Amino acid sequence: MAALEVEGRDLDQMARAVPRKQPRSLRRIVASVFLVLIMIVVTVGMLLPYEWMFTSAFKTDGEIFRYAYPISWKTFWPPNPTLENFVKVFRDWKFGRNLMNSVIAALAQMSGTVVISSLAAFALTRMKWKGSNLVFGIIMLVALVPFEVIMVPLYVVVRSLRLTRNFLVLFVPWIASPFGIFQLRQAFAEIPRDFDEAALIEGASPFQIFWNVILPNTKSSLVTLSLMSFLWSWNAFMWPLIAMQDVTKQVIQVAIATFTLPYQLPEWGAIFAGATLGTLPVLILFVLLQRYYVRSALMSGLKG
Amino acid sequence: MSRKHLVVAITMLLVAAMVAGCAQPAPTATPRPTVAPTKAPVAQPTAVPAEPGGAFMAQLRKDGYIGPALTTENITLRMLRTSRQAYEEALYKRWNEEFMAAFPNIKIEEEVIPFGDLFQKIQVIIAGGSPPDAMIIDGPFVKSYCYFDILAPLNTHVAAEYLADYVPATFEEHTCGDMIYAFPHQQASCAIFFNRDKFVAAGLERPPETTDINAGWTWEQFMEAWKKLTVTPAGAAAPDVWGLAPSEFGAGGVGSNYYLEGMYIRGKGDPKAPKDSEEWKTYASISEDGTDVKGYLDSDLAIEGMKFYQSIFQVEKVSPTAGMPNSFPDQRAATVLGTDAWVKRIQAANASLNFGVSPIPHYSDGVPFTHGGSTTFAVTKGAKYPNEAFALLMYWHNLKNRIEFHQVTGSLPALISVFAELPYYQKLPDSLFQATLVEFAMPRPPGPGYSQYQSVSDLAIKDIGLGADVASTLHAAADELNGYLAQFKK
Amino acid sequence: MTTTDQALVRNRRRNYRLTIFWMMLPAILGLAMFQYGPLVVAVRNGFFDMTLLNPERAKFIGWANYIKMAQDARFWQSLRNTAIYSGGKVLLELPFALILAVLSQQAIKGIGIVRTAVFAPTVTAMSTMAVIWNMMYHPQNGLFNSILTGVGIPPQPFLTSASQAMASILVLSLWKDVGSSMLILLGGLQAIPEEFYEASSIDGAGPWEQTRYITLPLLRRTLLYAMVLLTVTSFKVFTPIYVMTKGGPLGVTRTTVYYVYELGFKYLQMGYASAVSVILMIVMIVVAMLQNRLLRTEFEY
Repeated sequence: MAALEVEGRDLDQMARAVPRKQPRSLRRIVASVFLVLIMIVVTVGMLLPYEWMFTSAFKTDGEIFRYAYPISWKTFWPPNPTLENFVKVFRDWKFGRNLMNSVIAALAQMSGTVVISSLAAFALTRMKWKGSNLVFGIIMLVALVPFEVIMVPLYVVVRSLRLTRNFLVLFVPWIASPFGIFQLRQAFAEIPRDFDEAALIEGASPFQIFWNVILPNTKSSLVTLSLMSFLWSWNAFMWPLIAMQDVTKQVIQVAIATFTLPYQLPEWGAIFAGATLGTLPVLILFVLLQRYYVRSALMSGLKG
Repeated sequence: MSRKHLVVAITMLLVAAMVAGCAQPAPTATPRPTVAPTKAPVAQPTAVPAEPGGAFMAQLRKDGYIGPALTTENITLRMLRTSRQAYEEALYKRWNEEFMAAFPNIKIEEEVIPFGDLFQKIQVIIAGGSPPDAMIIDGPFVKSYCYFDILAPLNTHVAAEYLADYVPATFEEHTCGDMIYAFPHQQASCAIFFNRDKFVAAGLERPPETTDINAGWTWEQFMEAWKKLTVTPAGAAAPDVWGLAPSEFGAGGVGSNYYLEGMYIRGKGDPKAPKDSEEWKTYASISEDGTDVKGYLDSDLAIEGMKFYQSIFQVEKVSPTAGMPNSFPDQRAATVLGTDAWVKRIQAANASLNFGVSPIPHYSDGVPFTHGGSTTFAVTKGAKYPNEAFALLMYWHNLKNRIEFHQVTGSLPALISVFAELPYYQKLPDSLFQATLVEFAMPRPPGPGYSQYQSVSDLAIKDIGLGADVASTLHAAADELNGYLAQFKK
Repeated sequence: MTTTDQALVRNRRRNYRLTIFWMMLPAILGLAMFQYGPLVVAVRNGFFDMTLLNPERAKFIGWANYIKMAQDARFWQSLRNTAIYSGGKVLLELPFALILAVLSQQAIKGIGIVRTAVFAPTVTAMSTMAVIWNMMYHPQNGLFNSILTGVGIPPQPFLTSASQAMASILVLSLWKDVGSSMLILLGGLQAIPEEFYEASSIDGAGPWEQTRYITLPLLRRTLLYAMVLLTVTSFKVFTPIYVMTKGGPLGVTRTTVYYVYELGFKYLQMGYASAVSVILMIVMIVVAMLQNRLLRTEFEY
């Protein structure tokens, strides 16, 4: 895994290497029309299945598929909007409880992963010790293990720890994440070395460098990892299904799946309502965190 | 020193890995009958010592519980089951509360999971050495669980008279050797649902709505009707309304579930033919010891049956090749093969649908055939509190609660005496499902290898439905399956 | 050097090592307990003939599972299917994600909506989305076929045909996952100091030049991370196959992990399933190493 390292380069030199070019206004206009078209196609294409899911949640069981084919406005809009499905999932299926469990478990897994990964990534990138590359390689090895293979032995482990009725079982096994360590290792390695050397000369301890130099400079990567690990937890299905034995602590993905009943037609309305409810919180989170990903002012200077 | 820390860290890693790796399943508690507490009430030494649970327990004994008295210690009884409709959930909740009121020292904890993941969940908890005291299981798996020694037999805790009341197909399915391993929870049988209006609109005679299953239409008759019922609008590339709805079992569509599609094979056979004949083998679907399917799953008759099945999708194209949820209640299909419990669900999906139910079709040269079997409950061999688990399940399954259960869910009873108590079994369509169950329903292929049987045949049937060569697909499936079943040979 | 100085240096060195130790400890402990431990058991199971329904009856059979694998046509087919899926996924998703990430950094009105739209599918569980796409892929009455016939193209069989099933699953996965790759690349873009863009725009460089000469070179670590993550996750693809095709038709969508699941939980051969996954892991390690090699030469110009 040592091969992943690539040498840092002189960034200023690279910036200066960009060749000059004169702007051409007609080309600009054609390009922006083209761009807007792409944007519309992408947005519609990405959202179409979603739109169908959202609006189906407001249809009755019988209407959901009646209007699926042939296409009409009724395919994408409920002709008789109803909240019945939502009432059903909250009242009959106690979905609120599952929703809350998922939020707590995902937040816990997110915080755990960010803390553990950033500590390990710092030790792996900013501190000098023999064998660090070997340890990193060993860590990455488990990223390759398919979950279906270790599921049963892992269940035996959490059972012998008496965790199967404990909330901890939902996230504790996953907070030490090879992907998290990998991602932050990449990000930390991007920070120029002179930053910590300057701090070192001022007598800062490694932990102070970690806290005052590295973390503030890798905010966007930390937020990315937070959202990724939140998602991993949020979308987990097989593990909570297998490991969590207390039905009051179960998460939403399992709850949605329980809307299908043996030897009977599934409760489609409830499934769509559940999926809609399971989607919105994370989508809102993404929108709220957007400023961490996006350099909004980036190209504005060029436009004028 | 840095190396020292590294060594320490790696050692810890290895030790932790070893510890975790060696964490074998904890020895499961062997079922030890809880001895009834001997401190009988001192005040009335001559009277019959009152059992814990008092009148409730006395009634339970009348219902058929013959096991030891229940514990007076504080215990938690663990139950694994699948999710149900709200009205059914309410029943379990109330029964459990009634049981816990009679035995305040017993706490019932239920774990509820999706049905689709039940088999996998059971495998994991068994491998993990932590089985619940009681659990729901799928009927055809009883013999598998029995082979692997996972369930506790009912005979030690349930009266023989109660066991004698089982519907024969249920009794057969739940029996392994000379012991019975599951409660008579519910049954299922199949019939064909049809949209009366669509038959009228197509100018067709309607199939008979009768309890005389032999008077039902043949598959061939239905094929002719399906062709006329399939409507393709002018200029459209595909029909808008289909003759036959795709399967809504399992994943839906072709090869969804052997429960449904196995009927197209086994219906070609004959239960009355001699046991070495092709007719009998096709009907039996597997050898009597449950280890051989060559000549059963892929007999010439089975191939004929599957050719008919394939023609539905590939030649006549009267049914779509992929699942279409709710197509029957949405009037996108004129007929659908479904079980008794669907009456309620179809009505719920479309209250104004004018539909009838006709007997399961049979081949012109075959006998009516439907699979029976449904989910049921059993006590695990590793149960910590087997007596209490049996008592609770006995309470759920006493006559009074059974009657209420079937009234609420509309599913078929698995106890003969319950039918008599439910007046709607005197009229259609429920009487048809009862007649089908009692006269024609068969368990799915018996034997410890049902999981393998179902998995292999589902894939083969799917490929056939999508157009693969019938004979070679079935032969390959039978060979593959025999490979998996070899382990069960004595 | 005085003795106190030496002590000070020694003390500082000790503290330095202790810091490393404590920083690595939670990660190593967690991984050892919850990943390595189970992995050791899984590897061990590969040498047994065993089923989950009665692990006590397990029989040690040495290398027999591995010998069986060599002659198991389904295993080889599953490896090929996995390679097709993973190769297709990486080749399609990375360029798309990069284009979308760069695009969504532009100051264009409404770009926030595009970004949210691209990200939206990553939020809902694959199990739910696979159910919905299954219906859109319906060979006769699906949404896609209505659109195709609307523009004069004959309806396609999609998941019900051996030639289109894997491609259909790939398109779904691309739709579902491109947002998370975009998210990673956005995080990487954000880390590029803004001054570079400012400097280059003063020099008159357009978006294309900036992408070519600033973004791509500075993004290579992030790209590498996204690529490795993508390869590893696509090697482990399971849910869409479980929900939509169950490995069919004719086994063309049976990926190795799905085969492992089938063997372990449907055919009750957990020992053999474990052996198959050990081989899968070895294949993945080889692929990951090749990728590193390849990527290093590609980006170092």
